[in-house]
Amino acid sequence: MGLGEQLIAPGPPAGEPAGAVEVRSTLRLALRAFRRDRFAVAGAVFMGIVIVAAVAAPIISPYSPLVGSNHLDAPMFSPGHLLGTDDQGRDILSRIIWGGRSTLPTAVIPVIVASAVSLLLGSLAGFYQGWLGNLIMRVLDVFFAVPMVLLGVAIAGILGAGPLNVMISMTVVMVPFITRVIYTDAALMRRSEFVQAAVVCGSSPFKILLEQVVPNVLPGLIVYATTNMGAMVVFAAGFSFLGLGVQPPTPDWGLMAADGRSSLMVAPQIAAIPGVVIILVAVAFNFVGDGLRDALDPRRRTA
Amino acid sequence: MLAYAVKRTVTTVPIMLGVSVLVFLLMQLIPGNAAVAMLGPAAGNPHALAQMERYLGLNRPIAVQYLIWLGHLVHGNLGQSTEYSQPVAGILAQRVHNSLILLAASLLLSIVFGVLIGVVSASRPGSVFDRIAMSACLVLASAPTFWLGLLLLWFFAVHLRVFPEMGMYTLGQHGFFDLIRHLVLPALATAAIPIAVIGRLVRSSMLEVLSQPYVLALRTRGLSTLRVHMHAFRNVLVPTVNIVALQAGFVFGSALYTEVVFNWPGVGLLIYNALLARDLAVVQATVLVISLVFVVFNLAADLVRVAIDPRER
Repeated sequence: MGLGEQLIAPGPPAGEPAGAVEVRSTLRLALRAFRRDRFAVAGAVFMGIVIVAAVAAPIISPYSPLVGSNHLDAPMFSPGHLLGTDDQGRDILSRIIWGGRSTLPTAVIPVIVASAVSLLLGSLAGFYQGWLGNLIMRVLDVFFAVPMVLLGVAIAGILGAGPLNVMISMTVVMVPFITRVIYTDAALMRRSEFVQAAVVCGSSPFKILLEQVVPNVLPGLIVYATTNMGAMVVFAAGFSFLGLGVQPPTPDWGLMAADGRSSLMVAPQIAAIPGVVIILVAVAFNFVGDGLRDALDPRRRTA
Repeated sequence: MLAYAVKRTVTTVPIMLGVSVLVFLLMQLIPGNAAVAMLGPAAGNPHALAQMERYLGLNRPIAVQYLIWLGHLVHGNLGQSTEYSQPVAGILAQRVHNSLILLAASLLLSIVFGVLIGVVSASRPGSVFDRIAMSACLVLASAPTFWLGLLLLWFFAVHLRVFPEMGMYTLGQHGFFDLIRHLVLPALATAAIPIAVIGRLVRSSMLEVLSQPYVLALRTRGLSTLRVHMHAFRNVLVPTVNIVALQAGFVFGSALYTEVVFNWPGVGLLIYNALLARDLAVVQATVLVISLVFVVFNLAADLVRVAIDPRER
């Protein structure tokens, strides 16, 4: 298509009334593609249920998550306790429902903060390259040289136990990974024709960065971040297991699985159930991420 | 190849230096400072605090502190453990040895089972095995390592009683087979997630290669499926080495959880106990040593990748 043709606004095709033309905004196309992905929809619905349950925990949870009874280690499907009780007689279902309030923010907030930091670092490094880009990427190389779990545990451990320190440490270990994803996209963008066109038109580099590069790296960032939220639920559980995160008796999925260790001999389900919830949530985030990948990329979208 | 090997080896020097700076800076995260951490309640005494800060060299500029620390490092002095009242280097040696056994076993399991599952799944896509294996991989890849360890511990050690629950040796024994019996469960728990990730990647790479014209050409010449797959697998090796190197980073970190679950006396358990006791010199030295081992491992993986892929030279 030549440049001249683009400048002429396309009217409705002859013979059709203007009102009948379907408006196909990018958002609507993306939503439609997402809705066709059964796994993505299932993942989104499941996440919706988990989030609503966590928010509405005081209303819907059948028991208190903190107060136990003398009905210890009840198996699943016991009368009155769908998922049984733990070694202190607390209702496991109630603790799972409440646990989302601790686990989900611990996993999601670091991803969001790290994404914001990485968006800045990655697009600067990828778009400007040069000494600034080199500096940023070489510093990140050092972070990649330390195994991620080890670095995370060391940072959280040295700062001292607590959910805030866990979130700080998760943010720090995520930034290199997200930055690299954005860097790759931004570096490709730098060579693209539309950026060169903007340069020719006399846009300042800052304007190009803000108006061309950032909007175009966003879809990749959203997909990567969503998929990683699942991985971070798992990662956060690991911190709880080591005793670095929230402290007992706060209901938290990772902590519940870790606490189940002491009753492993008599009631393995106490450790098993929270782990299954963590896996389901992580898989759901993965499905949603995969769905978004197909929905946000026009080339992968099947119209 | 040799020129590349030399060049690549030289690039690890700035990385190692960078890692040393990062690990040194970790200690600046200590709430208060190292002197406050060591003195505990006695830090309330300004005289004692000043003396401890002078003893630890904290009154000097941070760059000087780093250089002194680096100088000690070069001479093999990794600091002093407050918990064990011994030089950290001495404690670490045996622990690193124990961890390397676990890491090697886990990596071996990851590669063997990951590749096996991937290749078999790809040879019959859509079959019952493929569907079960890929669903299992999807679930496994999202499971917390410590949780897998707990389940394995419960099922094989508590329920079936076929493997010992914890430790590295039965008391009073030091035999090879005793070690293997103790190694199976922790290695399996550490390898489970990498097996899933490697299996999925090998399957998709294999399917991609199998759809290429040269594979069709091999088939039309009447080669057996096995021979065709052997030819195809050569081209899957490169992405496989890449993912193994990436997963190795995960194994190096997540072994920490399995060591804690199975009481394996390696560096992971050492870090865990050191964090509980706030013996931070041990934490610092351990992170440093594991990272340096990891840098060397990555160098080796890179050289292997270039050796098997002539296009990279």
